[in-house]
Amino acid sequence: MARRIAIAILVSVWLTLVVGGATAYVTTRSVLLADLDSAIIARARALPELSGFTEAAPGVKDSTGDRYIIFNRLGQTSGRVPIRPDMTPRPAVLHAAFVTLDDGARVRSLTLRFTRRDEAEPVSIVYSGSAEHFDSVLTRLSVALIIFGIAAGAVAAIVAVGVARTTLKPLNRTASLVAEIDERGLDKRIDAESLPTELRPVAARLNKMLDRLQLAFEARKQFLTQAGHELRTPITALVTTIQVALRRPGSAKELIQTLEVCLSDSRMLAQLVTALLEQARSESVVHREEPQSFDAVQLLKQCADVADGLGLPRGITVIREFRASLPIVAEYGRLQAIVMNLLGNAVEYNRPEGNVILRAEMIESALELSVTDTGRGIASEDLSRVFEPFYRGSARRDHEASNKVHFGLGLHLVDSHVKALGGECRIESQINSGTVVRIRLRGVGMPNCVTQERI
Amino acid sequence: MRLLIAEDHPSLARSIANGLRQEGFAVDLTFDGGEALFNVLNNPYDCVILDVMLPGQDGWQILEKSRKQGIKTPILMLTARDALEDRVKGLNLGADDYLVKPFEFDELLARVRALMRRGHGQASSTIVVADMVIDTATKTVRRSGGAISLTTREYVMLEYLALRAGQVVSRTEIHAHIYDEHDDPVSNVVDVFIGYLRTKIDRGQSPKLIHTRRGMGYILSASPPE
Repeated sequence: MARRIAIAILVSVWLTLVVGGATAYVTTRSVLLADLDSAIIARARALPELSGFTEAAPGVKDSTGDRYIIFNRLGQTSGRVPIRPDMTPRPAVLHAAFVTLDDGARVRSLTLRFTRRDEAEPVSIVYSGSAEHFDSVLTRLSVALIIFGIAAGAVAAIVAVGVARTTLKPLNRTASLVAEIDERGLDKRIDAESLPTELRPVAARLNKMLDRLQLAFEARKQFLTQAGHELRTPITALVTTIQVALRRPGSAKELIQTLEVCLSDSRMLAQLVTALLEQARSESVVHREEPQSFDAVQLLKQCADVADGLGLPRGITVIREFRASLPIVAEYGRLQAIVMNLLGNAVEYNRPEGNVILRAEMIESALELSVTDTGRGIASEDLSRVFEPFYRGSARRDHEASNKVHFGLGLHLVDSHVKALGGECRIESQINSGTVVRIRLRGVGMPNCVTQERI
Repeated sequence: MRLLIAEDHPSLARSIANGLRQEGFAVDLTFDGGEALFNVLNNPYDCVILDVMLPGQDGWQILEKSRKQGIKTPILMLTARDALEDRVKGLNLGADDYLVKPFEFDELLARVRALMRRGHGQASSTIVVADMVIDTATKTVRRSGGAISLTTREYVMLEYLALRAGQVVSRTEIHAHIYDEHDDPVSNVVDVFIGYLRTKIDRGQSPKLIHTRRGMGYILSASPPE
């Protein structure tokens, strides 16, 4: 870009110089030429006898070196023509040219026709005056213009390059600083003060973006670290169980028991890994689903049916409270994950013969979902932290008997899906009474859709 | 020797407990932080294995509260967190050792034994009383007359008496340190085993090492009490 700026400056300066110089030259030349011609004409008119004086023409300068030939109408040369005082003041210029004589001198040659008011014959005079002065002035002018042009051009070149470089230096510095910022150096920021005023807002926005990036990277790093720690305990359980069994193998029956414990632990590990992958996928930019238009009610009914199946052994049912149809435009997969997760939790942490209420309605163009359960509830000190990854609070491994161990990722996953859909998540709970999770997804309503207000 | 294991992952907790019981330790097991704290404050343990992440009270809180209450039991912290600040935090709060998951069971065992020895002021792995040498690493006992073969229970009881050598140990104390909370507190069993030990350790040997202090308990010592 520096090159472009420099070239642009240079081209415009040089063009100006050239055009200006040319104009100056051309203008000066035509002025000088006009002057020369009128001087020649004046001298031609001042010729003795032609001007009406009998003596030599007074005050005519530079007549030395002038040459003239007088022609009559028939083209014959003549010496002198007697004239009368009313000779033409302004003779017609029939021909004008620069001629180089045999001895090398340059002259300006004008062919002039003098006419008289009476019908006396016109006279043509070819008058040549020295063009030396004219030439020398123009030569001096050209040289001066060229020298000035070259000097100015050179200065312009230096200035252009200098300006281009200095203007772009802070940009280059910024560019190299930005190049240094990668995952390991996310704490660097651009010094907006060192940039020209026009670029400061850009720098400020870049810095804000870096802030967000840094936060995102920190969160990701933390999640990875936590996930690693979470994986260690079940792995240790497997290792220790096997080690202890190997120390004193015991009977085949005991070994079988040990193997069964290990199998169960391995399955839980697999589930944990699946949960982690699901979490990673929900946040991944690559896996981006296209929003589609569908009827949310179909999805809700489907999930409710599955949840009913899960709750069947313990007599837990899902009560559905929504209209017959809720057309929306959203990412199907994400909404499904959200609803299924919430319903699954509601069934899991419910009391036997308890129930789950699934409510959904459209308010303006937002979808409001809520899942209520009659489970044991969540303590208020845990409530603010339930959306953190791996947070299990007091409800940790109380569900040994059930197949699914609570990894603390379910609500975090729901939260990240909801955020990806541009919505928000709220939770309320009372110990021994139950829990409600409310989801609000803005802007998913179908445009120009008339919601069935009264059924 | 009686241990408490506080670890919320059920199969990990159980396999550690099984492994240690195989080695003759009495083991109490708890999955919950609140329960763990209660146990530490109310039961006499020779060592506590404490997981950092427990529901209810976490390991740090239990550690801090126990030390504040003057519990001097050696505590080994067990955790998945290997960061330097976590280990330092644990040791500064009063833990005696810190083991990162996953670990080798042998290492856990060795560290637990070392902690127990230290808890009883015993630096090396051998206990010497008169001409009796107990090697706690190999669990063998010798007197000048030669090696003495003991059952696991007998060994454990002897080891405890030897660690408290020169002190009177009541039956209740012996029972508390040899049997875990699931065993029936039949105090007679201590007398029975002391009888077995006497037969194996003291018969035909000199000096006699196991003495009775009427109304108070037993004492293992080279010189008979007055």
